[in-house]
Amino acid sequence: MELRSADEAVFRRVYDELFSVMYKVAYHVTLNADIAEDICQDAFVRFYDKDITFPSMDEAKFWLIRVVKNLSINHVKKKSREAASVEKMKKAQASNPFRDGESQLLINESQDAVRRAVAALPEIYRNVIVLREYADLDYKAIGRILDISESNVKVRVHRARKELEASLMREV
Amino acid sequence: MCLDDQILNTYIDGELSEPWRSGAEEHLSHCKACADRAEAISHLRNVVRRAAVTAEEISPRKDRVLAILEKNTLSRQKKQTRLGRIVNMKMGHLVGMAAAYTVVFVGAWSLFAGHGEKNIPIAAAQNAPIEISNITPVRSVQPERQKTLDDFSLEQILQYLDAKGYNVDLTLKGIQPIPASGIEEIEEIESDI
Repeated sequence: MELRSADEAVFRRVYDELFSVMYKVAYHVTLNADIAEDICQDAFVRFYDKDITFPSMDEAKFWLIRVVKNLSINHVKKKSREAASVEKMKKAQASNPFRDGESQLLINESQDAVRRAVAALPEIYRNVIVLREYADLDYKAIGRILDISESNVKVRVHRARKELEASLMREV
Repeated sequence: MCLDDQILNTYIDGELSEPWRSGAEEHLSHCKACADRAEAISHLRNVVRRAAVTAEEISPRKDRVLAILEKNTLSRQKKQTRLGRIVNMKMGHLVGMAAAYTVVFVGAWSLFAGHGEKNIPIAAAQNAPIEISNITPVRSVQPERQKTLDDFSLEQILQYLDAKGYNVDLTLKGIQPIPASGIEEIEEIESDI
């Protein structure tokens, strides 16, 4: 069933269904609740004003998530947060070295620390992890939103988790 | 051969297709090292997922944003609808209409310009000031031809000479004029018939 974004009834249905996932994406990229809220609002205003007809709810979802992701990335770049976070992450890795051969890793980080670690990932890894873990999208959908192949998504998910693991784990 | 991290990540995400999925499951059932590694990756994934922003955090923001959108965006759109969609044309439509008008105008101009009195080339008008020497007449005007005697009938010539005071007597070669008595005889014969 087609969905016309400027139709108020359709708009309300899409809003009700997709706001949460959009907010999660915006929040976990920017790590700022107010900014995430503004980005979601901006995305829905664009959605309504553009008056686009989508062939399905999934297509509308992909469009909105792509807009939210781009706005979030732009915000992060603007604030130069990424460069500072990468430096912070490097220092964290240096203080928590990973020992080869460790079979069982205990990750006992607080919720805030995990969120910070995700937000501190390099952009290409952060995007796939946020879309995979917080938007609950499969590899195919992630590939469509990021305009990359599924095999590329697999590689990025693997590398993103490796980086997260290195930044979060500590020796028992 | 043990499974590498990339295959394990793909398997844990449920994205490993057959027959590799069955092969991975079979390997994990008897390889403790790979099973432990898979457990660690799965644990990491759960930790990251548990850090997701919660529904309680999202709910008030969802309501607030909707209220703002209802106040600003949705109401603004309704006003535009009342004003009419004619005013709310999209840029693409305007460009298309402009192109259509241009085509029609240029077409009409090129069609009818050839039948006018003036046939001055467009390029000359645009590129250089108009000078008489630059103007090339496309259709030459024929001067009025001098009339000769061939253009007049014999009767017109005789009338003209008569009006000028000339007394013209015309005779035809080899034909003798009929005498007056002969004319009377002919008239009698015609009346009998």
